[in-house]
Amino acid sequence: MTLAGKTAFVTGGSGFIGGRLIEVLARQYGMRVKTLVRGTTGAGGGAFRAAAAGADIVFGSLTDRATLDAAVAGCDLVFHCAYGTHGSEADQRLVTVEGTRLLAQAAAAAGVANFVHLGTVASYGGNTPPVVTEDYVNPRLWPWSYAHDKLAAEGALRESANEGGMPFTILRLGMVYGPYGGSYTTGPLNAMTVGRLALVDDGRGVSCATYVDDVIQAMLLAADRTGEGETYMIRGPDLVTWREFYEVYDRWLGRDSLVSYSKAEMIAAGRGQWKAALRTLVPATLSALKASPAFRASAGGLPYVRPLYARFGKKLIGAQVAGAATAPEAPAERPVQLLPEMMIDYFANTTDFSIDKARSKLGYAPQFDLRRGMELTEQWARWANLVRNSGQ
Amino acid sequence: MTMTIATTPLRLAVVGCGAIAELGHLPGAARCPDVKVTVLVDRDEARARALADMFGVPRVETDYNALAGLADAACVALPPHLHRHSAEVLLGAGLHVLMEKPLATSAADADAMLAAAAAANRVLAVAMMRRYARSTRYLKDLVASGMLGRIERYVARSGAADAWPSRSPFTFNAEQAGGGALISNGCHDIDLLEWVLGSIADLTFYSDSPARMDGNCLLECRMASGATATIEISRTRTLANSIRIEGTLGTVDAPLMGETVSILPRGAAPDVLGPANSPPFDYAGVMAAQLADFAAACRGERAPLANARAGRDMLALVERCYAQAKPLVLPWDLPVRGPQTVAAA
Repeated sequence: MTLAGKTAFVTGGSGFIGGRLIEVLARQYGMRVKTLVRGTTGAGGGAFRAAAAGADIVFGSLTDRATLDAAVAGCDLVFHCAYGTHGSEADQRLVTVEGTRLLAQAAAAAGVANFVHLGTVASYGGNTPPVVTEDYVNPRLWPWSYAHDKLAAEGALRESANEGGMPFTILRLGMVYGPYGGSYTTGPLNAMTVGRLALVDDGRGVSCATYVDDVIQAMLLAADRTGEGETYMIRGPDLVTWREFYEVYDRWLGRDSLVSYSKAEMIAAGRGQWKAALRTLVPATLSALKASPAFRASAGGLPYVRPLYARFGKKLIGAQVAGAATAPEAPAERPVQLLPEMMIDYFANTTDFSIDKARSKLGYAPQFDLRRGMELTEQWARWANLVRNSGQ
Repeated sequence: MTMTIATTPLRLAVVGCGAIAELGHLPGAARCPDVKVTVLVDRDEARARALADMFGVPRVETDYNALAGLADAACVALPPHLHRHSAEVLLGAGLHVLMEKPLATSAADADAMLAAAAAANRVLAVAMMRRYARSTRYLKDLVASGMLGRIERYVARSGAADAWPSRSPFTFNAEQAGGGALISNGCHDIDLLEWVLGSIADLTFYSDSPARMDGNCLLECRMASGATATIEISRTRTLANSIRIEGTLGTVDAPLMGETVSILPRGAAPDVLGPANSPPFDYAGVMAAQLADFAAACRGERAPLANARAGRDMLALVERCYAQAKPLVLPWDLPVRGPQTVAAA
C-alpha cells in the first residue's frame, strides 16, 4: 500500500506516540488524519499538537461504538495507540480491552485495509529467559493490570479482526522516549528536577530504550504491508541499561539526581514513604473534616465515608488530630521517586527482547541509538523548558 | 487603579457559560460592586442554571436575542466566530458590550462591530484582562517613566501545556477560533507588547502549523521605537510565562500576570535581588477591575482601557502574521525512515 494520500484514524493522537505519528503521516506522507480525543474539557497540549499537525479532532470515547463507526468511516488505516489511563482499574480495563474490541469491530465493518496495534513487552511477564522472541509465552504475567489489560486487548483485536477478515499487525514496544514523551522523558526530568530518582540494582536492568521515531518507522512499515496478524517486538538498536538511560538526563540537569537501592531497600523505603504519607494525610484530612462543614458535607456524600465514620468516628478524629499537633516536621529533603513495589522486578530484568523478526520480516532498521536519540531529545527538552539553558 | 462604586450597579448579562464565564467573569463580577449580573445566557439551559445557582444569578436565558430590558450591558464569552453576530444583536438592542478576546475572527468583522457600536452609541470593549494585572500596570508605568532608559529589548514567553477546561471545541477549529495559539493565547501577549512599547513596525512570524492552528509560534518584531521584541507562544509546552524588558538603565522581569516585578539596574549583579516572595495572583480581582473599568466606560466616565479599536488592530496584526508565516524550525523534527524512504536510507 502506498501511504501517500491515504486517510488514517489514530487513537491516542493527543498522546506521545500517536502525536508524533500524526505529524509524520500528515507532513511526510500527506495523509489526512483523524484522531480521537476524550473531550474538550481536559484536552491539553497533546490535542493542540495533533491539531497543529493538521489532524481532524474527533471528540468522544473509545467505548462508544457510534463514535468509532463515524470516525473510521472512509479510513484506509487505523493506528491504535490509546489505552485506558483514567479512572479506576475497571475503567481503564474497559477502555483498553473493550475499547480495542469495539474499535477493531468498527474498523473491520468499515473495511479498513490495515490495523496497526501497539502492544507492550510487558505482556511477556517476569522471570524471562536471557533472550525472548515473539513466540515466547509466559504463564507468570506481571501483577499489574496494565500488562494484563494490554494482553487481553491483543486477544480482543485478534478475535474481532479474524471474525471481520481485517488485516492487522501488533507491535510490542518496550520503553519509548523522545520529544513529548511522558513516562520516560518529561516524567523523570520533572522528578529529577524537584527530587531524585531511585534505580534498583544500580540500574543494571535492561530498558528496551526506543527513540520514538524508531517506533514510528515500525508503524509505517507495518501499515505499508498487508497485516498478517503477526506480532513484532520493537526496540532501539542497542541494549541500554536503566542507569545508562537516566544518566543522560542526570548530566543535562546537573543535580546528582540518581539514587541506587537494592530490591530490599526499595521495598522498605516505599513502605516507609507510604506510612509517612498516611501520618501526614490522615490527620490533615480529619482536621479539615472537623473544621469545614462544606468539606464534611461533600466528603459525606462519598460511598465509603459514612460507614467508616460510623465505625471509627469521633474516637479516631480526636486521637489523630491530637497526634498531628505533636508530629515533628519532615526534613526538607529532595523527595525520592521510588519504583512501585510490584514493578521493581520489571526494572531489574535483563532480558534481551529480540527484534530479529522485525528486522527480517518487517524490514525494520532502527536508526537511533541512545546517543543519537538523546541528542534530539535534549534539543526538545531545552526548547520545552524542561531543562534550563544557562542564563534562563 | 481605584474602583468607583456607582449608586446603581450596571445590570450585566453574561452571554456564554463556558469556562471563562465560570472561572473568570462571574467570580470577578462577584467582587465588583459596579456590576450586578442579572441574567446568564447559554444554549445549554442546564449549564446556565448550574452557574446561576452557583453565583446567585436570578435569571437564565437560552437566546441572546431576548436580553433587551433585562440588562444594560453584556459580557460576551461565546466562541470567537459568534462574536460579530452577538455584538451586532446586543449593541442593536441598546446594550454595551464587553467582548471576550479575540474581538472577532477577522479585522473585517471587527470593523463591522465597531460600526455597530458607533451607530448604537454604545461601548464596545475587549477583554484584554492582563492589562488590569498589577504587574503589567507597573511595567507600563515603569517604561513610560523612563526609569529603565531607552528600551532596547522585550522578550515574552507564554505557554502552558495544561488543559484549559474548555466546554467547547472551538479552539481546535481555525475558522471558529480565528487561528491557533497566536490568536487564542498570543493576543494577550501582543496586546501587552504594544500597550507597553507602542506599535510594531516590522515583524517575522514562525508557526509550527501549516493550517493556522499553531501549537507553537514565534513572533520577532522591530518596534517603531527601534526596540526589538520576541514573543514565544505555546500551547504544548509550559514556558516561563514572563516578560523581560531591557533598557539602557536597567532590566525588569515580570510575570505575564502577577502582583510584583523585579527591577535590576544596569551593571548590578543578579544576586542582589532577594528571593521573590510574590503573593498569589489575584485573578478574580483582575477580572473585577476589568468589569469596573467597563462599567465606568458604560457610565460615560472614560474610554475602556482596552477598546474595540485595540481589538480590531490586534486582528489586523494577526492576519499580517498568518499571511507571512514561516515554518518554525524544530531541529529534532526530522523525516522518519519509512516505506517510501527505505531504498534511500
